Amino acid sequence: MTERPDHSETGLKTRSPLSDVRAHDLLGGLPSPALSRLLASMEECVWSPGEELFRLGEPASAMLLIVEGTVESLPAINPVADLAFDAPRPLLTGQEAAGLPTYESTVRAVTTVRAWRLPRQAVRALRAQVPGLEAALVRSIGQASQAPTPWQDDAAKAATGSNKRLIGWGMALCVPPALYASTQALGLSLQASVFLAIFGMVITLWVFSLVDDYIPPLAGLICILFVGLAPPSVVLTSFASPGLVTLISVFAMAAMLSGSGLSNRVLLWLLLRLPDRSSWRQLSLLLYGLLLSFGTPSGNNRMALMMPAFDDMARGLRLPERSAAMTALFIATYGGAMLFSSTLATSKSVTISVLGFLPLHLQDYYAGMFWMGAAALFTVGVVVLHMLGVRWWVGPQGQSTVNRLILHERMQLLGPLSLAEKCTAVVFVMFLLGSLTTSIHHVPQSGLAGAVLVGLLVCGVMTKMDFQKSIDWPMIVFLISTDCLIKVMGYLGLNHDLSRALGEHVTFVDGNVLVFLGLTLGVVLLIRLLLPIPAGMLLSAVVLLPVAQVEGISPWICIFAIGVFSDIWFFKYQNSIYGIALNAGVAARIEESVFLRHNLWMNGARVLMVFLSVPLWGWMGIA
Amino acid sequence: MNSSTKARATWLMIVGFLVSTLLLLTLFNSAKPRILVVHSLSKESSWASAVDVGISRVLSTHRLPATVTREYLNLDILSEEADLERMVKEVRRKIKAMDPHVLVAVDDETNHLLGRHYVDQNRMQLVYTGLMHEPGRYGYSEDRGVFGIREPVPLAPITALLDEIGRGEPLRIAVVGIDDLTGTAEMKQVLGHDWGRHRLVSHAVVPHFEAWQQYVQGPATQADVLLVLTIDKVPASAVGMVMARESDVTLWTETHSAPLPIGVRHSFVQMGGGLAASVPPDELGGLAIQMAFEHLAKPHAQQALKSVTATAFDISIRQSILRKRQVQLSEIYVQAARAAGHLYP
Repeated sequence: MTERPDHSETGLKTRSPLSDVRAHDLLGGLPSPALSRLLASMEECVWSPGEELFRLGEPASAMLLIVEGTVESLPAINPVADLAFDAPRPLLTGQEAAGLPTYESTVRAVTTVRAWRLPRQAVRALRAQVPGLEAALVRSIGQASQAPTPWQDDAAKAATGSNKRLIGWGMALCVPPALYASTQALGLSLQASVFLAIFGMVITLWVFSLVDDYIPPLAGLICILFVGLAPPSVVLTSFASPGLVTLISVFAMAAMLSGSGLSNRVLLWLLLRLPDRSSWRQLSLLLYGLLLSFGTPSGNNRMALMMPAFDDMARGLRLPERSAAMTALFIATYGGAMLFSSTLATSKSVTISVLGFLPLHLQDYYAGMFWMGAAALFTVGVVVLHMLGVRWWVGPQGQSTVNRLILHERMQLLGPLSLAEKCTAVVFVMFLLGSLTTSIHHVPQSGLAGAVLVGLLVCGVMTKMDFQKSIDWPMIVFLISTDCLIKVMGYLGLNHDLSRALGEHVTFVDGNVLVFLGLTLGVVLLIRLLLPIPAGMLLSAVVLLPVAQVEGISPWICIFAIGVFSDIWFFKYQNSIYGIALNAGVAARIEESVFLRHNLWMNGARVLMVFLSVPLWGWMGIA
Repeated sequence: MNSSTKARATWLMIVGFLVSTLLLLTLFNSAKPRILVVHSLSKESSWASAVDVGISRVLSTHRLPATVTREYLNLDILSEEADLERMVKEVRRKIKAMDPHVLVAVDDETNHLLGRHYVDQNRMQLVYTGLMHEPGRYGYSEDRGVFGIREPVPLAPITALLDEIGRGEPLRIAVVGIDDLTGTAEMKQVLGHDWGRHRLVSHAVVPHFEAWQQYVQGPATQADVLLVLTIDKVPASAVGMVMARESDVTLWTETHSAPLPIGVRHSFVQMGGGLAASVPPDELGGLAIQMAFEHLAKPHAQQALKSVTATAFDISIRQSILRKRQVQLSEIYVQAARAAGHLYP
């Protein structure tokens, strides 16, 4: 920051910053204890016209909450900040202090400016107290208005009044007893009725999004333990499975890819190396997504990692909001996060769980090169159809050029590869090669993943704090708990009843792969109307794998098709990955109807490419 | 409805959801069928643990949510100062607190000390198992709504074994047991059995290990085979309630018995004996718990339940002992022991 102005003449020393902070979109929503800590370290500053509040490239030492006066941003990196403005409401600037080493622009006072100064140390001290604050602040760099508080505490969120939530809680109250009573009346066994009542509660909580996704299956498990519907060894069986090690390790690797700065460096490198045209930039996002899909097993995580890249690009290119170029860029971002979720067995964490239904030798065989080869045609096909879809649905995107100077500067700021980046890159490549060559060395994937985790921990690349904070524990609990629910279902014999009931009606499959794929599509779409992707995939696998076995269809085809068809969605509630983008305020920045049309196109593309892959699978001897 | 009213209503719904879920689960739990299994022996006893194995096996195949609790009177490991009456009272207090839907009483001692006091209980179904005496001795009958499994000493298979060992020649039989409920019941069955060409020359139920030793080294020497009845509760001496270790009694008997000892428990061979024919205790446990579940499935259809007598038996063989005693059995016996996992080198 430039020389700190003297504010002794302002006569404003006695003002309290509370009302100004409360009036701000982002900071106003901070929990009271966090706000209290922040207020303690805020100080008031005044700048005269022409003075610089901070300068491009200076160490980002503080954020400023401007409450009076007009400022301008030089050079402007965002169309909004390009304009000089006289803030009607407090304006936050210098958010770089929350997570970046230097300021990304120069901000100058046009008139006398009064602002509250938030020192970097104070902002960073809140990280542990307010998860997501840092990311939200960095995301809001250069934006005149910030998205509503993403860290609004869950209890308050749960009680937010809306008709949908009211109906949802009402349903959660009524559905379980109703299910219990009706299934008892139908003559189902006591244990089946109790399980269905609990499962009904879980599904209701999911469908109405009443709580975070990982809570309903965990609550279901606790209910099952509470009534002793199955022994603890069955209820908690997946918590003792090798899949847990794989999940923890892969999530740890994903966290380190992002945390070490490696993924950001790769993106910058791609942007600098590829031609400066919109199609290439979109391709770079897709390639970034492909890279992430090798080590980041969750679409949610990939989307979270790619959104900053989208923001960076959109800002750097000065793309107008709701423009075709902005929409195309977001479609590429979303595509990068979603298109490759079936490219590898580890691209989607739930695939790891579903593979657990197969015998160990088959798991190892399918998890390696085999999967990549068998999914190759599909992957190439959907990427091509994605690009065609962008041309078709989005249309001409105009000319825009990326500011390569800033990219270069950012790359230079990163300096040479750090030890953390080197270690992460090495373990990532080791894991990748190990996973692809399982059929040669026969080390189970959980062993490889565990070795990667130990490597990260022993090298000190992943600290105890990283281990606590960076791993997506709720997602792991979600996957494992859902898997446990399915195991309890198996213990009670309900999955056999379900697949037997289905089996009686699907004799028409008659070993025909195409017919089976049609059946899979129908079942998955139906289940996905009620369940989120991971739970939907698990339940679909429970229902369809026995049918595949009976019909002599390769279990890999069954699992792959389930994975691909689970990515199809028609309603926003069906897809939490798009939900992440919506939370980041994407709906206001893109032409959403175009995006949704493109999504429908890609739904069709997925189905088409699965069916077109059948000859390849025939050639490989599995169809 | 404005937003604050909606938020309040949503909070009410959430609280209602949590409270009602907790309430319903608790209600279900309290109404869930409860089965109490009471053993007279300790958990570590080979026989009681084998009964438990059978119970667990059946439980693992049943999906009806039920709380199954096991209680042990520990009669085989009581100390000198143990107050049996107080212990029984304690278990009765536990039964009252748990208020089980089904009480499974394992073996004669348990039925004598506890089971017989729970006949004609409206809410609680009594199921006995491992009963050597006639059920009527404890006041049990199907008319009074008490069902269970009787455990016979496998005398017919033992007679066949004697035919095999004697190679067509008649054998003289001595029998020794302990003077307790189980022992006297076993002896009653032995005395009432038709031994065919073989002859019972001597028999005794003895009060303690010392008397046991005297019998084995005295009257039993006149016989060719010594039938060793249940020895899991052999008082160590004439005074006190301390029991001799089952393995000590087994090894001493096998070592000092001139006639070939044949046990009626698998544990006799497991702990160093040479030959035994026994009713598998896991069968007794499994049948009892199966009967309990049948009752729970149709609590008001008692005529559906029928008391049974266990018919299965196991052969247990320790080959080194039989070789030493120059006893050769047909391959069918060896393979039967192998199949049951009761063939020892």
